[in-house]
Amino acid sequence: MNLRLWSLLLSVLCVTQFITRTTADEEVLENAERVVKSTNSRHTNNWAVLVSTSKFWFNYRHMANVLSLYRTVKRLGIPDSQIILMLSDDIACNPRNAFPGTVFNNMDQAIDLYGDQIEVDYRGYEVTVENFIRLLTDRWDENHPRSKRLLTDENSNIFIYMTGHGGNEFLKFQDAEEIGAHDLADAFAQMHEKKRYNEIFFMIDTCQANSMYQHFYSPNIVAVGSSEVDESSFSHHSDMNIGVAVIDRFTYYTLEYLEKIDKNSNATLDKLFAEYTYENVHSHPGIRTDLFPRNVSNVLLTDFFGNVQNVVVDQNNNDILYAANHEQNDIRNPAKNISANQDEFGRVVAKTHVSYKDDNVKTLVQVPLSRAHILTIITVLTGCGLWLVAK
Amino acid sequence: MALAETVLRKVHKLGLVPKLIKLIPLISFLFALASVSWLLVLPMDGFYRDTYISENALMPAQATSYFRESEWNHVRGFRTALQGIEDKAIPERNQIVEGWLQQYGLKTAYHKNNRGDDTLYAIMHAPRGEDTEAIVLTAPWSTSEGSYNVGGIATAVALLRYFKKMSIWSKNIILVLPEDGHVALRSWVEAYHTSLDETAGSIEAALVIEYGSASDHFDFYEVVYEGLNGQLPNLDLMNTINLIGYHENIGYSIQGTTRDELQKRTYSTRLRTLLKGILNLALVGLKKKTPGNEAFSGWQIQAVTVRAKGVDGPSDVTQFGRIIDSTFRSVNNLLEKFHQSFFFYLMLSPDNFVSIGTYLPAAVLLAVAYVLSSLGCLVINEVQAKFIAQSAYKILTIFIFVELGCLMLAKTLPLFVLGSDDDESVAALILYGFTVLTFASFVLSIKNQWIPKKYRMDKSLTFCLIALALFLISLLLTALLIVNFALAFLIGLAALPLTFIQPLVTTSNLKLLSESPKEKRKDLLSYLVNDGNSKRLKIGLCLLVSSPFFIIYIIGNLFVDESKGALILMKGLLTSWDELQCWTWFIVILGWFSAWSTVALSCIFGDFEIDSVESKMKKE
Amino acid sequence: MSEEKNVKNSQTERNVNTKQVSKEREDIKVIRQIILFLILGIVCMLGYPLFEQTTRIYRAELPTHEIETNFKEFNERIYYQVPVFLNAPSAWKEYMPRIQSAVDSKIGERYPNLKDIWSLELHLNERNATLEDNYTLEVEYLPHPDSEYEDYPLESFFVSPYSKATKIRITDHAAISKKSEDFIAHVLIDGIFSEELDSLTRLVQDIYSDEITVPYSSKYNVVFSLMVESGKKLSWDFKDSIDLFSPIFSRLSPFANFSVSTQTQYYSNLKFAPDFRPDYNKKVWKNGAYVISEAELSTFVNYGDWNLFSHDIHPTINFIIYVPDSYDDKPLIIENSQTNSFLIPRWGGVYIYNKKANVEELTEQELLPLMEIFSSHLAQLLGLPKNPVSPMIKMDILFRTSTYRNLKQAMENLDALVKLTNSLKEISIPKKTKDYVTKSLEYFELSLNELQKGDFGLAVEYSSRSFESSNKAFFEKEMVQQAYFPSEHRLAVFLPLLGPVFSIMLLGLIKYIQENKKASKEKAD
Repeated sequence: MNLRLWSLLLSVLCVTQFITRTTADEEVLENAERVVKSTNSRHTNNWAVLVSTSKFWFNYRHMANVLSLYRTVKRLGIPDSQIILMLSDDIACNPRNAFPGTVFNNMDQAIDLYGDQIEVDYRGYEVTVENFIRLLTDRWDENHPRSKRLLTDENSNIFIYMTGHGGNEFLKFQDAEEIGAHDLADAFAQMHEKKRYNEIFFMIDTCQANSMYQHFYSPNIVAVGSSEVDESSFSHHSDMNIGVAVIDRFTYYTLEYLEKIDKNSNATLDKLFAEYTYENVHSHPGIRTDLFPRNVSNVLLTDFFGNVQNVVVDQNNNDILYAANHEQNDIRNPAKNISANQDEFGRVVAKTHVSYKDDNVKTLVQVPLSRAHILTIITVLTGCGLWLVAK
Repeated sequence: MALAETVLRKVHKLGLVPKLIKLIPLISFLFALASVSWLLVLPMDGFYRDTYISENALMPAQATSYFRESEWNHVRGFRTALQGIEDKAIPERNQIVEGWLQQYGLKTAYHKNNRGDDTLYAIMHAPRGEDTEAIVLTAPWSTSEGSYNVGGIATAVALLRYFKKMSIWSKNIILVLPEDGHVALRSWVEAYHTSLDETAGSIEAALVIEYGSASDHFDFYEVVYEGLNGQLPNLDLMNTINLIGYHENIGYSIQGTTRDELQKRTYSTRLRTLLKGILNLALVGLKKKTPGNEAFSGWQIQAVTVRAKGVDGPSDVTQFGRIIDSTFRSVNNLLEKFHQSFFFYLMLSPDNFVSIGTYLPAAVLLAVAYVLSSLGCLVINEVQAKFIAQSAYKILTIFIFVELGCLMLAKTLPLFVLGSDDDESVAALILYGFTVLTFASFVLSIKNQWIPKKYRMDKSLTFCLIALALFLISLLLTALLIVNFALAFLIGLAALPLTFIQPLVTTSNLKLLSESPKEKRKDLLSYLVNDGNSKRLKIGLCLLVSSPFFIIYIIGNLFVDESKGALILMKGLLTSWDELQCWTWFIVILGWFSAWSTVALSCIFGDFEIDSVESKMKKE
Repeated sequence: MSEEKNVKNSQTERNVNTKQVSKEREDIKVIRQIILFLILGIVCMLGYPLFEQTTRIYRAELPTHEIETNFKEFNERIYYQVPVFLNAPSAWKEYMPRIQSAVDSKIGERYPNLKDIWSLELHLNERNATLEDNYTLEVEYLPHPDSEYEDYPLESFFVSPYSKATKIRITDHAAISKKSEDFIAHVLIDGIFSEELDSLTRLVQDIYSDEITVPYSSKYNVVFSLMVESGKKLSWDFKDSIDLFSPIFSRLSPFANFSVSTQTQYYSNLKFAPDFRPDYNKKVWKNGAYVISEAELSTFVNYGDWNLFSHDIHPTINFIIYVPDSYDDKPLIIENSQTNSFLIPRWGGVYIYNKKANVEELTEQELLPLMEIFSSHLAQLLGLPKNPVSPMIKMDILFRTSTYRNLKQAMENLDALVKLTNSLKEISIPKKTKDYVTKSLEYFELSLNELQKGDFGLAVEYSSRSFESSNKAFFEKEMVQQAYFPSEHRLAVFLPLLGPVFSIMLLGLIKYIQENKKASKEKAD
């Protein structure tokens, strides 16, 4: 009797255990699925806004910074039409440039950043605070060319890079005016309100850079800056032949990492952020992720630097032209183009042949959790009944 | 309010005001003392600043200079050729150099100044530049030491040849080869801005180079930076050259620092550099050995002279060239005129300086000392305001008379020197004349009882005149202390004895009252023991010491390392306006000398003895 | 004694003094008061309004309430009713309600979101009248199914590629089991309108993501470019070829206008050298072929060198015929592509055309297959559904979905504008913005009106105007808030000017009040 009771209890326990186990497994699976899904950004196009704000020959490195990133985002697949490049000075053609028509970002002079196909959207005196704000909020004259506009939508991931001379909560433009941290934050708020972006990766390399993103309040923005408040950003090295510093430290290490990845890379943002150490940058880079719902360790770098735009091959729906011109004279439209057949009624019908299927069979709605509960209850009840009988 | 009232009452009760009035001369002297101590404190740690590059655009020593081995051969070649033509006259030499320059594609031209040989200059237009700005490289045929600037000219020509090959220039480059760094260069600079046909835009900076030996090596280099009328090149330019020298590992000297003390940074070296700097800045344009950079003053051109020192040492001539090259590249990087950093500063060492805000109080204190002493002159001697109002006419007449006399001297004396063939002896004659005048007033001020009573001025008028003279000096100091601190400070210091005269006069009067009057002894000792007489002597000495011409003697013989220093200084003073537009002569003669003359006149013709009536009243 | 006298004296003196002073004051006082009031008047009447006028940020009143209700109740306001005509015998009349309810319930079941937005309205067209522009179902009854094809489903339908007609065959199988209405519902919902319903569902759920479609605009530039790699002359009969598109464009005209242009460019080099594979698809290409892998395609178009940028303000759809140099009869092939063409999302289509070395002209006949492919590209770029096959229905579906999207985005834009102006207090709202807002709302109502009437062409036209006006309202040029400049700063700027004036005025006023008080007191005394 006792033995029977125990075996009964045991079996009940086993069953419940099994059931709860399976439901737990399902939950785990569900969670896992959620994680996997969250690594996939839901953007469909990538844009880059690259801005150097300072003029003058001695700010060569700012132009080199921005051109380096231009080259990188292009290499990783963002087309020129989706890159807005604001270049405040033409250092390549500066008379002081010992190598006219070139810009280098390294003293080895391996890569001429100004080599070929540089499309500058805003140059020289066009690089103003007003134009930058207009670019972000897309408030322009009616005749403003499309190539100079940021035509993003709610599926766009935007990478924004700024470099120049800045201070606490401002960035100088052209040595003449400055953009404030509030201006930038409000511009992003307007972009968010108008659904002009899916996610923004904001990167700024300037003195006291971190102050520039402190006032952001719109969601889905991840921001990095090169230095804390009251801290300078430093240049990396000089080219003794050109006679100027050619790149800033923060940008140098950003590029050094980005050079390692290609279009299909699975590298995530946190790997890039790991490069931003004090030893490398010589200042304290800042990273702000509180507005960003995804975990940066799940965010691919290519979500911002690459481009999802893949071409589509051979997915054509045929015969549109033919059908549209059907009413025109038939000689011009050789019927051979249309892959149709004649039906019994003597008319041309489409090859689309949707067949009817009796779908009386209802799909079983899977409700694992409730089912588990019911099973548990039934088992327990049966167990109790058996126990009573046994007694 | 109550507190102020009680304080005022206390002041009244204790009779502080009359006590303070009595103390004015002492206070004035303390101010002067404070002024000097202020300057002495500056070289102490914590009071000066380290130099730094303020203009981001300069980027000194960031570019590699390729003025190296292969260019050395060119320097040698030019130098050998130049050595061969040392005996030829300058026009002939110019022709040869012109040939070289034209061979390298430079545009050459001459400036005819009507005093000596023509000045050859060459322009290298920057092929990709805007053609609106220029940098000048000057190599005078003879250095300030008077030697043949063979190394300098060889380097300069080689540099131009090397510059021509580079495509980095945003500014034009001008090479000037004047006869010397004095009148010839100055007249070229003036002509460049007024009459020359071939120009190349506004000159941003100028370097004058002196390499007076044919040696491949030199020891260290010296930079001379004082400009005319208190002007200095922008500190950024100085620092740029210093930094470049540091990177080339060459010793850098300013204010004649010797080889052994180049690296020394002690209180005494800093003080010496500071004082030498002040003296040199005050005397700029007056000496015979002009380095040339001061020729560019007045046109907003930052100019320095770079001088190679020593004939053997660790550095070679291409390094000298690289200093010039790197400096030119830095200036070339500029986008605006020099505007960062300081235009008014005093160097303590190549790496340390004090800016105007820090050193200016020294001159201000000095000016205050004069104002106080001028006030004291009137207050202590109880000159009534009514009296001043009444005799203002008289005072002004005397003063204007003196000033007009000085003006006449100021305008005519230089003419004598410039008009004569033997200008040195004319200058000497003028100096002797003034010396005689100075001594005459010294003697007369001691023995002013020789002047008949009827020519005597009364006491109040005398003090008014002294007060006015002192006030004039303080005005002069105030006006000068910003633009030409060195000159202001020097004059203020040299004329300081003038402030002692009034207290001496006043105290001697009081002493005379207590003594039995008219007691005379014949021997010198008793003459000196007599307080009144010793005071008289002191007054005379004060007058003598504070005379501009006495100071010229002192400075000329002690601080100018040229023979017949005083004479040269005098000649420099007389000619510097016409030749260099240096206004020191006018300041000395119209400001200092006129004030001095006024005081001297007061001492000679003043009546310091108490009127019998007055003394009687006092006794009662 | 003497002291007392003194006191008295001084008292009288004081009396005299005050008297004198007050006497002097009387006339001055009046002038002073007049001046005071004059200044006060100028400040209040002229100065203050001027200050207000010059420093105020113009903020036009927006119809906030209307926008918010439109935005919130958007799905309640919009309603599609699509008429479908059944060409069937009149005996079907009694079946009609059953068919209608089958359709309705199917929509409700499959697309619960669209239950109150979208419906089909079935009509019986007894006389089989031809209804050109309407959806018709030609019902055909086949009483005896072929026994040969037992596995083959017996009911079937065919969509005409030329009209909006659909042919349905119903057999006994369905008729007997009374499943005919289910079948008709299936044809309509799963066959004809399925893509429309799918995309509307997505739109209702705020999912706009579309990787291929060019952003909507009321006008597009379509540029056909013949890019020739070599410099050898090549002419093409573009006129007739492109004419083929005109029926499509004219049909699409309510949706958008298209302006077509062409260009020919020589020396259009690739940025990379394609791989030569000697044995790629040996059967077709005997000499081997140059092959471009799919990965390389995204960099195929040389945006920098090929002059493809139009500086027009409207979006451009590019179609490129790339004619490579013949490479000694070795063609340039896209890997795994049957048509040797590809589509660049949001941008255009590319066709690589390998011509023989001696060919100097491309005829219309040769271009026809290319144009067919481009038309397919165009359809995808504009967002035409893949099914059903009939272009007319496709366009109708495009119209309806676009109407929904346009109107919804218009209201979203206006709502965003309202939110923005509420959150940014310092941003100016120009009158133009307000005008555009009003316009947008007007077109919104007009479009809804047309929807009700069933004129989907006009509806999409109005919706597009509403959308564009809302965009213009949001993107008004003057609405740029530049330089963070809060009102405290403004006050600080003006304080040095206003402070002294104001303090003097205030003191004068206080003095005046005190005097008045004194005077009234004296009077009272």
